[in-house]
Amino acid sequence: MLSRRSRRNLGLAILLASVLLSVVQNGFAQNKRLTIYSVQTAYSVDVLAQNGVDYVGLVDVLEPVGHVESHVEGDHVRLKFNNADCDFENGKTQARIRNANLDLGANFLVLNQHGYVPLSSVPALLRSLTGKPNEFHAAARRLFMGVQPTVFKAELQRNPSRLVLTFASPVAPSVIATSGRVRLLFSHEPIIPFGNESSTYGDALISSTSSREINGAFEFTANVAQPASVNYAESGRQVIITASTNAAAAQPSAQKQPETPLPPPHFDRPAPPKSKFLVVIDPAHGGTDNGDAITPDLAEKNVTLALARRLARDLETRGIASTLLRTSDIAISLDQRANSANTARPAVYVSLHASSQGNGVRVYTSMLTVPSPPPDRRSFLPWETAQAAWLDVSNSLAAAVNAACASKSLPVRSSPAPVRPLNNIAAPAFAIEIASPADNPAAVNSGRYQDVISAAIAQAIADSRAHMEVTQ
Amino acid sequence: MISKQLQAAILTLALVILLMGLYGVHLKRQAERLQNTQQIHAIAPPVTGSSGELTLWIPNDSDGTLHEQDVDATLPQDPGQRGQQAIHALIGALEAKDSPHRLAAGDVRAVYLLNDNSAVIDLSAQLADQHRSGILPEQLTVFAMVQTMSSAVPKVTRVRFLVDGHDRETLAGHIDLKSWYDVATVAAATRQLGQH
Repeated sequence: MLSRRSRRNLGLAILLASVLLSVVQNGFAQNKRLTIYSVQTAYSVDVLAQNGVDYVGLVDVLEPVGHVESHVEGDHVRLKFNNADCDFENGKTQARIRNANLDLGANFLVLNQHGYVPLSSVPALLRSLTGKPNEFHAAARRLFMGVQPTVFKAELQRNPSRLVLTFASPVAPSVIATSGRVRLLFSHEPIIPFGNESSTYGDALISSTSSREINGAFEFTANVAQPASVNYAESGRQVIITASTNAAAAQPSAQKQPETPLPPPHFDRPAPPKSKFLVVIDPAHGGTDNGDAITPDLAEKNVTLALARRLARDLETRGIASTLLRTSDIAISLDQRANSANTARPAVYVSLHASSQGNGVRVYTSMLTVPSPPPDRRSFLPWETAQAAWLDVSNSLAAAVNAACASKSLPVRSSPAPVRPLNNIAAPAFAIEIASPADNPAAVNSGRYQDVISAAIAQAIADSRAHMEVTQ
Repeated sequence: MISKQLQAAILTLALVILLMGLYGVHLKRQAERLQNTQQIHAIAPPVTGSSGELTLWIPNDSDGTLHEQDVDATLPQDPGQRGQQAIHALIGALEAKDSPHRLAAGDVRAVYLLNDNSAVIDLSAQLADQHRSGILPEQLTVFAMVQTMSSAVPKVTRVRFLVDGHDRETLAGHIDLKSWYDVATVAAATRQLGQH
């Protein structure tokens, strides 16, 4: 028999173990992602596990594909998606969409003033709101909305041994090279495996390949002799994996190299081929860094992410590729942001902020001065003053954004400011801080207001594109 | 039976205890008020020197500009002490209830003048931790300090900041606090703010 003290200690140990288990489970749950592929864009949202059910943020799912206005009233989340009125209630398994009931399959949740819908209800919810058919690959958490999943062709060429992957449109996978394997992770391309998920080639240098859908992405793996290189061709439509015939290929397994993910893993969307005109959008703050408290219930980090998604959508409609440095509520250091942006070699870098102070739009460029002679952009640039080489283009771009905002009757002002991490960006760069259009600070989160600002920024970038491509 | 004298004594004692309790509560509240006052207002360092005018650069949140304001103060002969006195006076002015750019709390810990005409302003963690987050409010605070330092010690050509003696990446999440601020560049940027 256990003594009273032993029983108490055992009880405490079980409690501690439960807490640890819960923490670990939540930690894993945060890594789960849902990716939605639509005609306008592809985006990922974090999956939250609650009481054994997977949930996703209601606004996170809807915002990239339409105009969303939402507010929380007690247990209710009242939301307007384009022209559709919706009402969700905490703890209820049904929602009202356009005066009709929609079965969610599990309880709707309101946590920290945010609404969450069960993951399994997302296909029906999007079908109901957008009217577009969709195809949901539940096990891999990939949803194709109005987009047909595409396949690709893999061809092994010999002398030298190389694997040529041909896609229907340009791709930009993350490349993870490990000893004996090259893995390509496609997060934002609606690619699915074709026929056999595994192929064996019998080649001495490229022996086999496999592909699968996993955690909101598509993964292609080639088993190759080390070292191998990955190159792009056909304007990003072809990815070529070339295995070296070098003697180094026979590296003993004991000398395995650590995984070297390229680009950095915190980069939500990988860098496309260098020739692309890419805009890197940096929604400031995230995770434990809330930024300004616009209101007691509205943090700057949420406003910047919403604006970033709108800007990405507006750029896409103007034929400009963009990437977000974060697509969810995660913390990224200022140096990491600059590093990720520079790695992507963007045509433009935009840092987005929001404030409870003042009103309208404020456009900021670096406070660095251009040295004489101006630095050579192709040479090594000091981290602290990397922006100096692009300052003339940054100022022109900021002036264009200023003019575009003014043309939409937005109060706007521009000035240099020591905003981090502008000085570290090796590309034309500016920061935007938006404040409410009126006395009510919360109005800064209005979808219609953000749409006007986002369209102005996107138009200014589109108008400046030709000039920037010539100067670069 | 309890005698009337004993009843009166007990009542008197109870009344005394009640009054002492009320007085204790009053003293406690007074002490708390005094403590809060000390937290809000910067404590003046002991300074000696001649009386004169200091130029403070006061930010205005409503229009996002800075304007000069002359105040009477004791001006130490030592340039480092004069710089610290100026920043201390600026923070005191900004912590006032009617300040157009309100700082919640904190003070300057020290100002160091280096041989190359550089100044290092060491701020208290309280000032940075409780500063409002945002590009505009942070920029106005930093510009006000650089401009005020330059007015108090004209030979200073560049300024940088420490917080509690350490490097800090940003003031409150936006404005760079690790780089040197060139006084002439800040003056030009301040003029640009005033042009709007």
